[in-house]
Amino acid sequence: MSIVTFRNVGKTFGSRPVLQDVSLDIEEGQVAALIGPSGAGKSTLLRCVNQLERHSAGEISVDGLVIGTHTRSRDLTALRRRVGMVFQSFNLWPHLSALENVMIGPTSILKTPLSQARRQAEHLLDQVGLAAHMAKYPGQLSGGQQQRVAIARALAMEPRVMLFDEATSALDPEMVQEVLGVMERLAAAGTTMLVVTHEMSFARRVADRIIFMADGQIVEDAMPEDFFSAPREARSRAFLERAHLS
Amino acid sequence: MIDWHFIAIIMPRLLRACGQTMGISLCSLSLATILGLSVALLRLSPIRVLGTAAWTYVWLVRGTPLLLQLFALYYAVPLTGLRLDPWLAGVLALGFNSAAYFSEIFRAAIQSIPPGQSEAAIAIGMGPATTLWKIVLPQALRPALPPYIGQAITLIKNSSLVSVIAVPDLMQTAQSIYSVTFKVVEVMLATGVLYLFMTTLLQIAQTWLERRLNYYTVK
Ligand SMILES: Nc1ncnc2c1ncn2[C@@H]1O[C@H](COP(=O)(O)OP(=O)(O)OP(=O)(O)O)[C@@H](O)[C@H]1O
Ligand SMILES: [Mg+2]
Repeated sequence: MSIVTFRNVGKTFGSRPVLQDVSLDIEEGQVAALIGPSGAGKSTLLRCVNQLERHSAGEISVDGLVIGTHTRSRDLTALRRRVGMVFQSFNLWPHLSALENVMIGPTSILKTPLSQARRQAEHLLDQVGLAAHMAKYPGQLSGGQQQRVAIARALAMEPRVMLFDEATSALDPEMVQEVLGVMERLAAAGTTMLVVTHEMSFARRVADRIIFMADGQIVEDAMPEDFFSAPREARSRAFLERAHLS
Repeated sequence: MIDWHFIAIIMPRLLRACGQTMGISLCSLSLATILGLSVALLRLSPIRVLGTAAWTYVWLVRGTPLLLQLFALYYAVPLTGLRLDPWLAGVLALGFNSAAYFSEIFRAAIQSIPPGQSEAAIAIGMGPATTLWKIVLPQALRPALPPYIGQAITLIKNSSLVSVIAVPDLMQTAQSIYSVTFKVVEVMLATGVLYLFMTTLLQIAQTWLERRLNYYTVK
């Protein structure tokens, strides 16, 4: 069953097309890695899934909710509750402790009772290896720890799909692995994930599917083994060659 | 030579008037805070007419003297058949006036919060009102505090203007004492100290609140 569907989706910023005629089906439990050169539209595609960017043409559906280009913004909150997002810059709320960052969604949006939300948040933070840091504020945590809190915060809403937009790009090299490790465990647990990443070895090892984008279009959509060992498209090959060099 | 004995004699009367000034200031400060926040939120609203209305309010109020606004409320409003007593006219004028300045302080503070903060809230499905109250405003308090206190201090000093419509505040009382006794220096010395006392309370409040609001930035 597909959880995320794009049908001929287009997005323009002003007169500039950033996504063109994108069609896509993400199956439940699938991990799709979105890769491609800077400016390809990867972030824009991801942000259309939870409608942080409204698309300008076509139709998107998430877990059965159909979103057109004119869906009222009030109806978008229902969609967003089903989609978790992890940002490159973490975007934790600095005035709340790690525990409060994770709890506030369930308590203020889902009206989960406080004690239950607290137990759930403690459990999630424990799972991402932060049992010892729950009372700390984001400013007291390292980048890797902050990003793991951000993952727990998204998971607390029990989303049907998780979006990761370069979740490790802002991290010091020694912290990349702890975050990728958490993502890998999520994938193994059957979480549906759309992952924009520059970590090619992670994409190859963890993803079920590679979606290669350039100039606002999906250029190639293939199994990781096929994509990395025998890319079909000339642009994929050029991209991979450059990625290997760097 | 300063007549200290005279100051001691007029002190109880000045203290009572000081209480009046505090009452007026507190009432108009409350009004200005609520109104100022509302105007700031209108300014930031995506609905154009609301933004324009808020802009016009700030433009009118900041662009004209407070004294003129006070006269407008006290002398012009009665032409419509609605008479305000001097105390109320004073509180309203001070409140409406400071609200314009407060709204700009609040707007700047809200806009200083990185957009990623509310984006993360929207992304988990938080509505705009909850995002504002639980994510943006708590963080905006810290940058708003110093200019807010500064404007509140201005409000206390500006409250002396209500003396012109015969509200028995500290300044009006001081004037009525020296106009009979001619001891201007003694009266103004005592009055100045009392204004300084009131504004100092706000300075202390600022220091205390800044320390409280820093809870999450102190490592
Ligand atoms: N808010 C915006 N307004 C105008 N143009 C935008 C906006 N956001 C993105 N763009 C443009 O859309 C194009 C696609 O941007 P997008 O961020 O989706 O690329 P990306 O594939 O994520 O790139 P990167 O790897 O650098 O993050 C870029 O050319 C960018 O300049
Ligand atoms: Mg991007």
